[in-house]
Amino acid sequence: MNRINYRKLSMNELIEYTQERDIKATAELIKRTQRGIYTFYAHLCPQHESVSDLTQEALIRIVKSIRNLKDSNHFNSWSHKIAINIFYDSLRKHNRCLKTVDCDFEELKNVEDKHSEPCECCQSKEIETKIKFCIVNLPLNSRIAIILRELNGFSYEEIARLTDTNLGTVKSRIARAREKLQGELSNFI
Amino acid sequence: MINISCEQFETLMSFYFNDDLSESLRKAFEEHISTCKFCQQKYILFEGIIKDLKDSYNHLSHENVSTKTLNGCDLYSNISAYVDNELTDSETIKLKKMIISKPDVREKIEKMYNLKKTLKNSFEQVKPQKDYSKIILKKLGRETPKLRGQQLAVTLLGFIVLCLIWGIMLLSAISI
Repeated sequence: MNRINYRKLSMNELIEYTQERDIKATAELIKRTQRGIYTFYAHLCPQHESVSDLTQEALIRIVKSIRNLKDSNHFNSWSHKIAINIFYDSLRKHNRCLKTVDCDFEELKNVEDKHSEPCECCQSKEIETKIKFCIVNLPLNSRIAIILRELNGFSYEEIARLTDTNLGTVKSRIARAREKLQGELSNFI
Repeated sequence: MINISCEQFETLMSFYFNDDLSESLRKAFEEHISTCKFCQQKYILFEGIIKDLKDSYNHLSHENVSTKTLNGCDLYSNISAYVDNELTDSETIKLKKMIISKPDVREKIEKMYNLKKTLKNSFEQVKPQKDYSKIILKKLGRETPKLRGQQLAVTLLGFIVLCLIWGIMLLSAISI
């Protein structure tokens, strides 16, 4: 029997092997998926420390429920649906600490500006930090929509399906997110 | 007073609507409407058609005006969707026309592309600090043997209980 080179397997083959509980395939699948999920959470979560926990939780749930995935071509959107659900769950769990960020958004606008001042003054700070900061401070719905679009390249239709909304809402959420980001990142663009 | 025939009435109708008739002819025309029922019906029909045409024309020109003066919000979300290739064909054509005629729209689109590029670069910089595959496999591995162990314990216990019951029954049978 030839030994399987898991690194060279296509995503569909890898998913199939993982569904058959192949441990090496599972490991390789996690390796390929983890970066996307981590980046997704890194821009979604206000709390830095929860990014790693959420990533871990999402990956575990993906591996555990991969047998429920019928069409491996839909793995990307399926896994992100799981990631979004886990994120919402965590919001509900840590409602108290996250509430302050969510509710005070309008009032936080001024505070946000003050925060961004040292960032702009101090040129050594990397632009990535600033971008991350700006995205994390977007309203929740716009944040999810813009991340799914820009990071994962999902179509508006897929985003609408993932977030249980309609196309028009997705369009306006993405536009609003871009408008805000453009305003805040005008020095860098 | 001039009297006109039905044929003449028909010929004069379009001129009447354009207000191109002389005073005397107009009076004769109106006189004919009030006397000839057949021509009156024709007149009403014709008038209805012209009204509909005017209405639809007005509607069209209104639409033109509204696309020309797209408010900032609509324009921005359309530009945003255009950059993502998510506009319908007709919307794309409208926006392309605007891109050609308006430099500020062009500038907005360029900025949008720059934002996309900056975000993409930024996303590429983010890397997980650790490899999750080992941690997760460990966790999953720990969970499954646990389950198996529990199952094994339960079956063993059941077996022992069964044996005990059998033993007791056997003993009682022997003693009897």
